Amino acid sequence: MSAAEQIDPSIDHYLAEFSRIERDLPGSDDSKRVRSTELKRFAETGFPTVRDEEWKYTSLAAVEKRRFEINDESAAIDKSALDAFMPKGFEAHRLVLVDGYFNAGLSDLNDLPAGVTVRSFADHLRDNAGVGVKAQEVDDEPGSLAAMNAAFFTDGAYVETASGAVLEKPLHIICVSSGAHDDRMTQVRHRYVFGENSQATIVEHAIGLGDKAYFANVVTEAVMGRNAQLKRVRLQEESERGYHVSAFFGQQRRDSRIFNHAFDLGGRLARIDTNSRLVDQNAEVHLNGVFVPTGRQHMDNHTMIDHDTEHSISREQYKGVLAGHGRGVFNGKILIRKDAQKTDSDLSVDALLLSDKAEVDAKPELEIYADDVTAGHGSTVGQLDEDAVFYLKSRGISEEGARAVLTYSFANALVEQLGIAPIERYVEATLLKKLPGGEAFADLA
Amino acid sequence: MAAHEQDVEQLVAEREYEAGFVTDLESDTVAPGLDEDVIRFISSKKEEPQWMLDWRLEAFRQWKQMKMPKWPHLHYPPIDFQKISYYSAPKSAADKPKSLDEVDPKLLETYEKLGIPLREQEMLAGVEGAQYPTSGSNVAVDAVFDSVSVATTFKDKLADAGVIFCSISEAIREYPELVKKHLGTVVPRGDNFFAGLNSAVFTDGSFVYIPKGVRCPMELSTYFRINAENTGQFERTLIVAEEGSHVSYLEGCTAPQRDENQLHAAVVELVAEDDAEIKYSTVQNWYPGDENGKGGIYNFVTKRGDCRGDRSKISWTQVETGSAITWKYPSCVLNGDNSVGEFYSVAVTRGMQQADTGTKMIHVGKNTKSTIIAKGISAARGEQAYRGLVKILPSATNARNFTQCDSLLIGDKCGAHTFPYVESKNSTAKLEHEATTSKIGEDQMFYCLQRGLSEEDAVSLIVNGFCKDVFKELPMEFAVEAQKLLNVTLENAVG
Repeated sequence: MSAAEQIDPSIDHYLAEFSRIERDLPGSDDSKRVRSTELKRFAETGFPTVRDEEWKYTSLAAVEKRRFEINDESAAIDKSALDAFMPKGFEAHRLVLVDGYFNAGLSDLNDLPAGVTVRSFADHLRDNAGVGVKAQEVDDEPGSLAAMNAAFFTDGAYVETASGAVLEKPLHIICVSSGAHDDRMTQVRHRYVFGENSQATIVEHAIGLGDKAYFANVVTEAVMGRNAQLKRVRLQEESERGYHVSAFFGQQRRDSRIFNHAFDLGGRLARIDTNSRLVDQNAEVHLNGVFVPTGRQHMDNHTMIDHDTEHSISREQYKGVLAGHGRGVFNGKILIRKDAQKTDSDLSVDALLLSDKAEVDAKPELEIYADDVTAGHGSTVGQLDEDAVFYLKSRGISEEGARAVLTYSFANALVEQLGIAPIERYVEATLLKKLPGGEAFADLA
Repeated sequence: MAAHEQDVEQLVAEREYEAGFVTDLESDTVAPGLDEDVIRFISSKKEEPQWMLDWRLEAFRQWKQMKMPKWPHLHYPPIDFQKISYYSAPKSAADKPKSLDEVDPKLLETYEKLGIPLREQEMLAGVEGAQYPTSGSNVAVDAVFDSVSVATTFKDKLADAGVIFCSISEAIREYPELVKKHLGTVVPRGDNFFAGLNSAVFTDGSFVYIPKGVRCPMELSTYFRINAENTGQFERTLIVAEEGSHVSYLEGCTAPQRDENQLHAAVVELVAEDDAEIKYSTVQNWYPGDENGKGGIYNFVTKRGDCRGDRSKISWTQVETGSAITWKYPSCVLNGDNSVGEFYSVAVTRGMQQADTGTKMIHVGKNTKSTIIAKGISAARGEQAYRGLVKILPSATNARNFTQCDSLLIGDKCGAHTFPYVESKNSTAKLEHEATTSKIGEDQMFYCLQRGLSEEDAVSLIVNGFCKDVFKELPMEFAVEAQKLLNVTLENAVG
């Protein structure tokens, strides 16, 4: 096999880019070998195309034709630049990454409770030669973009909770792409290692500044010990020219729980893969997601829940609001393996199409090999109830306003389930701002 | 309960194929292999005009460029298309029988063994003046034995109404303009791998033409049987319903038992003009292979209906209990405004059977409606997938879809999968999809047993209830047969 024949020019660029920065990447010699293997895996398949079933509705052609480069350092960012993205009254420990590097000045990691470690993943790798670039417990991270991330990632957040530790205040991880230079990429990897009976809330907040095109590729690994609980919030507000790809890989031991809440509001194109593997009894995963593509935004949510053994629970609820030329994709797969008897699983996806130029493609999948299970899914696509619009109009609300309020309440049903009031209000306000006529109802939030 | 479940599996495995027998007919068979000469041979054997041969050859050229689809949730060894014989006709077909005495007795014997409502063998043989004896039941039969239509009944009565019901080969000779106008317009030659193959080598099938404003006076029915060794069947069916007409077409299949896998790649095209309605029902019970997956029919079918006219309606109903592999997606293209598409399906997989089946509803016209009800029953080591697509194009204002797929699992070695695609490009469209997967509830069983039903009856009752929404869509004659088939299929399933 001649490499030149196999590899297209865009891959050539990334191979060259890797050799350029390889020396500076954090990790032991072992890690370097893993990174090379992952680079090879990425190079072999390259960027996924629409011929790939998993990418049927999402084209990365725009990403592929650009030549993104790793930032050598993070751009200098003033704290005030982030003010607009800070939910009011949100008290949290804060870890800020700018252009793929930990920024101590903007972060606030004092007064962490005993037994909880939160630090730069790059630092953690440098200090511990035994730590790998990929979590051992997560057996498999499919997809060439996850491989690309494993090869290139420059930093991220490392969170470890000791047995029984509880992080009272949420951890707010802000990942900023400064957009200071053209065609830069942010490759970030977070790892959460939860000890038995530990508990934490983590908000992963992606923010894009500036008006230059960039590519953000984020991977999060979560290894959940027995009876551990993670509430994870993904808040995606990339800039209009940001391409955002994010993958989550969870691995859940007995009685552990993951509550995942995703809010996709920004970005030119966003592709989110959320995967969790329930390897022990009574593990539980809840995935909630709201995606609101407007203008020319494209948002693609893929989820995969792998019920590996008996008595595990999954719940999944996604809601999409599509306006303008927005395009939304949802693919939710539930795999119930042979031994996963007594699995209890349910998935629903609802989409609200507000414009004739918008499009939604949904596919809830079930793959079931065990007979004593409860598994169901539902999906709907529709529009606002004209009777309800009429009712609001008869109460003196403008047509546009009535539609904004109804749309808002459709999405809000999931926002309300979050249980972190400052973020709920922040998401609601951002959502209303995106909807035509919504500004007038800002006080609803 | 555990002991009971074991019995279930054991019994499912032991069920034998009732229609398993081979009729020893003299066949006029071409040697295995496929090239342009074989296609020329088929075409000349059928006395086809030049345009038909050219059409086939073009299809063959396109097919050679195509690859077998890899996306279905099916596992089977690669098929060698050069090992299949592409033409097989019973000798008796060369000389159509005038009375019962002239009918090949083996053929009559076959029908007898099938025990399907075909006992009126005089009718089958086309004996003049013979009346269908069951009062209230009006079924015309075009029996396809292997690839050639051997008997057609009720021709006169249909001719009076202006309905054309004949084999496709006859239609190509007798009504070339009609065939030319519609053939390949719903399923083009290059549509997919199996449709391409069928277009090149199809040997027979049915042709139905219902003229404007005519309500077909009886149900039309065709029984397909695969008989000769190593022959694939490649039927081509074309049904054209002109403005304001109505037709109900029934198709039923059983096949004799044998060890070699047999390939079946049919194409069915339906055309419904303004206000026309076509109801297409299928009961498929081909040989599924033995409990180790040896033998059995590979069934790769392309069925598609085009609701071309406004207010037209196409309804697919299928009961799939046979075949080792089923790959089948009866679809509706809803072009006309206010047109309606329906799909009702019961699929059963047991033993080592695999099915990847579902439907496509493409909404193009305004106010188009579609309904999908799919029920899957998986037992023993059966694998079943529902794969469906509902697509709303920007022009389909006020389109409406309702989809429901339910799976019933019997035993812990089977699988049931659901892959429903929904694509909407119109903001006024309303789509709903729901799916559930479950097993027969212990409480349901307990209730039935406690009322004095045997386990077998209880399961039969519950399964029939599960499938009721689909069975009630079948024409009466078929509903009874389908219910019986399902009962027989799962008879020993639950001990």
